[in-house]
Amino acid sequence: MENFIDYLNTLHRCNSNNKNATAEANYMSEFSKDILVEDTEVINTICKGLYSDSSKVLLTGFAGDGKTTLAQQIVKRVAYGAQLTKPIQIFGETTLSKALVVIKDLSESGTLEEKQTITEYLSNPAFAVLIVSNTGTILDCLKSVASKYGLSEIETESAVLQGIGADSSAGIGVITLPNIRISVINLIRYDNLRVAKQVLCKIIHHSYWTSSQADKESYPNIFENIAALKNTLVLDRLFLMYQRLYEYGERLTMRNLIEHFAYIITGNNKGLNSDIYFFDNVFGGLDDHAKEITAISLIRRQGFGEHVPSSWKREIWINPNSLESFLIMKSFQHVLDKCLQDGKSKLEKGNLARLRLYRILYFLSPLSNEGFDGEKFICSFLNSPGLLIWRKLQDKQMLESKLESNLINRVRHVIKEYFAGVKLPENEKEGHEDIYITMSRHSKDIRQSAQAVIASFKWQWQTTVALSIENDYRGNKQLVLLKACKGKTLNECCNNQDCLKLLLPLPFLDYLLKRHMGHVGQIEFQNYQKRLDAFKISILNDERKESKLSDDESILLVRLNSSRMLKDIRFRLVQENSKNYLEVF
Amino acid sequence: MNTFFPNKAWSDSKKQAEPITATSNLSLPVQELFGNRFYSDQTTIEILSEFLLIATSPEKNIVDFDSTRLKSSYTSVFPEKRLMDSLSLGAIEYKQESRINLKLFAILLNSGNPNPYPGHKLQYDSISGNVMDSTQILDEQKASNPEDVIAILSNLFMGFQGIGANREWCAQSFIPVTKNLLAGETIWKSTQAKKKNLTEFSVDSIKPFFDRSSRNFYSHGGEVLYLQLLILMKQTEQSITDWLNSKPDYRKLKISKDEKNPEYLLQRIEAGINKILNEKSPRMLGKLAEFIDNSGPPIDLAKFSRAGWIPQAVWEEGYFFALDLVRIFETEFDVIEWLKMLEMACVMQVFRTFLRNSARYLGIASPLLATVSTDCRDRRLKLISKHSLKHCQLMIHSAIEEKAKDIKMASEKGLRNMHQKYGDKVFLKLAKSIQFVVPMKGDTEHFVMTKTMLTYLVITTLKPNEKISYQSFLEEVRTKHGLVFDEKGFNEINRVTNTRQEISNGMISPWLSKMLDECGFLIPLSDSLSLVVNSAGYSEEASIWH
Repeated sequence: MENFIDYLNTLHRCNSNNKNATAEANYMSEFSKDILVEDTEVINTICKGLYSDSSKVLLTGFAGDGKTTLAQQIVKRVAYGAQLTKPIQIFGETTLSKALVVIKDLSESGTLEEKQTITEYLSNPAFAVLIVSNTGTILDCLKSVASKYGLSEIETESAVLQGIGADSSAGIGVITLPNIRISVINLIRYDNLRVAKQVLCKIIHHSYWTSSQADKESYPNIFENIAALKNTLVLDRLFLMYQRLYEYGERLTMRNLIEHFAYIITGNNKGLNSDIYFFDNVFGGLDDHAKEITAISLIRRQGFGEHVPSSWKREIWINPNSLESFLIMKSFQHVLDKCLQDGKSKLEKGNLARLRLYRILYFLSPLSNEGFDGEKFICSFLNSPGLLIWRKLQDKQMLESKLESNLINRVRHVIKEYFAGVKLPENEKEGHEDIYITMSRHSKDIRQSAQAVIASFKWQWQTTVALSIENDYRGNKQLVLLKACKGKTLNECCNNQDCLKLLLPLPFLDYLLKRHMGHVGQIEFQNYQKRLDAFKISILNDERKESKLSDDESILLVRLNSSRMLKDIRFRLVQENSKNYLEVF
Repeated sequence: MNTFFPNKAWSDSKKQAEPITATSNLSLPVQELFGNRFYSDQTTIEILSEFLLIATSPEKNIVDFDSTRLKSSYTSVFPEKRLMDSLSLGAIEYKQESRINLKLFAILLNSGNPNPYPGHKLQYDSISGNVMDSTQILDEQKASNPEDVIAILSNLFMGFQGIGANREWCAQSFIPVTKNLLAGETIWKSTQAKKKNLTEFSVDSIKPFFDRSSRNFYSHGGEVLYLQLLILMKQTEQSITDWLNSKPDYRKLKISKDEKNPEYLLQRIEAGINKILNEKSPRMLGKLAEFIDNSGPPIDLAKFSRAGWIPQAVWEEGYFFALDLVRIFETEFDVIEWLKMLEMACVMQVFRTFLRNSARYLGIASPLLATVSTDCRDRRLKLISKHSLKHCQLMIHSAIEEKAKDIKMASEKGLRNMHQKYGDKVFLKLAKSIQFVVPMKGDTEHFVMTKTMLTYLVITTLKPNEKISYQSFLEEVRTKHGLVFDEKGFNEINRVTNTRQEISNGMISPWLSKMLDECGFLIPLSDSLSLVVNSAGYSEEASIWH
């Protein structure tokens, strides 16, 4: 009989025995029930769809998002504990007052007869239908279904994509085709880190770790890893890393996450007699095959740990003794000491040791060390200066006023530069409240030392512009810059819906905080240009709402003066005695 | 039925490529195939400017070769439908402004020529003197003296300098941010002026040396595009619907009912052009340009120009051009971005005209263009792309050669010259100028995708905030532009070009979806399905991932 460690090693792909990577196999395995977590929020949503009048539900998402596991849990709940074993399975006795048809693995249901069968189930009100499919295959299938009702492929695709891509806060979309109405639950619209954390907690609190003390001697590192992961701080830091990936658009599926958890704990049983621990395994440790693990390859690509505040480096390497009290778990002190020793080497070995030392500090150092700014270390380590600000936003509503004013100055500077298409001095004094939108060509080859202004507005903090916090569709809080409509103050705009908005998600927030540090190149900025362009267009449209863009009688120009400040000048043409005069003011 | 629209015979300029007399039916194979005409020295911005110049010209006449018949005229972008018959038999003449004083004022002293022609300098002094005399400084903190004002104004217009910075000032052009910056071509005949050795530089004495009929840079390309739209007036909603339904590829295109109606399309284009040049740009900018242009002694160089002709069959390409333009106007940009997109649409239309007409004439399928990423390191993929480029060029070349045989054109020298100036070299030169083909020099030229072109492809495929699956997006782009990015398309090209390469699945990295993602046009829904969204206006949904 295999032990729990062997089971964990079947969940990642670093050896040939990853038999439990698929949900079907895992569901049948001995230990799966011990780590299975019911995502009640999603299950309830699906059940609600099945109990509704149309009673047709499409569960979709990335491969590995947990669709099959969820389907099995649904079947268990509504079909009195039955099990899902076939691609198309009918459950006669259910709590739904009608039969439930579960259609899974649509990609393999390619034959015409099967498509015909699916069509019949979908259009028959006597059946509740749960389709479990990734989105590409369901699209193909529904196209052939809808063609029977004379719908063209374009119309079907449009209807299906409308449903699957719906941005509703409830995470539910609806596909409406003739005679068929399907509720769509798209798992990529759910933040899976919450459930993943519950799974990891189940793994690390599994009874095996206490009942099999004999194995502790065979696998000392693994048991050390478990002890460390039980610490809330370590767990938090791990999930902060995942959160950072997620906010930068690198979403991990449930399978990716569980694979990574398994590898973090066991390290594929390598290095059992050396000192390889979880903080190495997170990054792939010594194992060459580990880079195949999606989470590890993404983490490596982000270059976490390459940036560490110079104040930390100075203190660590000038006065290494001070690190004695740094770790929350003394059992890893010997690794830290070794890294300190090796890190002084100028050879490759030294580089690796220093990187490892920073990784240990990331996971095991509390924030409040005397003389050290822990928050700064974490943000630098994850290369995201705004991450902790963003994290705090998730916990409480308000930003500290000092931080808010700092952020707002940075946003203003970026907007002012971009809208006017000029480079302004970083230490620009406050009080220059005019923001100009010019006819800038944003080209290095063209010199536009005087530019025509197409719109301008006053940047008056809390009167015309403000920072706000809003929920996105996943329930996460995001910073938003609000700008009052033309001619109104923020108070006069009845509610936030009337204001113009610039979303400041984490990567943009980081850009704002980093651009003064010299970390950020032009390339990174290009990613935000489109967002600023869109904000600019919304301002221009707002300006046009009540009047012409610019009054017909005069034109405002801006140019940079000798101290690189924007200076405006207005021209007006007036006619006197049938002669044109140019007034300048 | 005449195979050309309008009638192709008239005399226009001394260029050899033009037919000589109004009664002559002689024309070159390029003109027979693609219309009269695209020329290698006309740059992308000049094609756009010329297109806007004819479209917005307030004086457009339909002239008939039968001089006994009355001229018709129209001021709107497109004429009324009732004029189509007389248009088919005649030609379009339109007024081209020269804006010579404005160019002189903005460019002369900024052009880097330390010794401008004395007559030009005198004219410049006269313009700036008049502007200074008319200037009333009301706030001295803003400008201390009239010289400051002159500098600010010339810097303002210099900022709209278009292409041709190394040309003589009068041959340069502005980007058309407003109607008042649109001007036709003017060439200063410098050698002749020097030879004449003038001692007195009055307007009348220097005027003869300004040549407005060379058509070296404004060489009818924009007019051909305008005519391609005009010819759509001969179609009806039904005929377009039937035509689209007759081709399996076109049937799958995402085209609304309205968009199959030519009248609707032309109305939207007219409204779009007026919106950009009149409403979205500060009106006072145009007035200021007009004020400066009228400030110097008038050199009356405005002239009427005759637009060329196109083969009737080009209406199919014209339809896709119209569709592209309508969709560009539907997406909200600022004026500068809009012009970039219009410029791209014009260039892509020139490519479409060359490729589809050649294919139609030769009776073969339209070529596919294998496009790779700008940082592609895979030599096999670049080679296939290079072969597809060569195939395109060869096809244009062969079509011209075939046409030359058909119309019994004998001169070999003339043919060689034609390929260089009007044929496949135009295609290559334009493609390089928008960085669609890289590198500029060397024998490894191949197609690559730029972010501007990708934006153009997205906004001409989708309406604002509309979504489509990534796969359907690829199909649309392939059908409308012939661009392919995947293994299947590359292998098809291999078969056509006899390249012994087989591209297996997975050999091409997902660079296009990554690029779409970077531009904010992609919503990943699963590992097998992503949506492409036209978020050029604003889409919070797409922005979540950035």
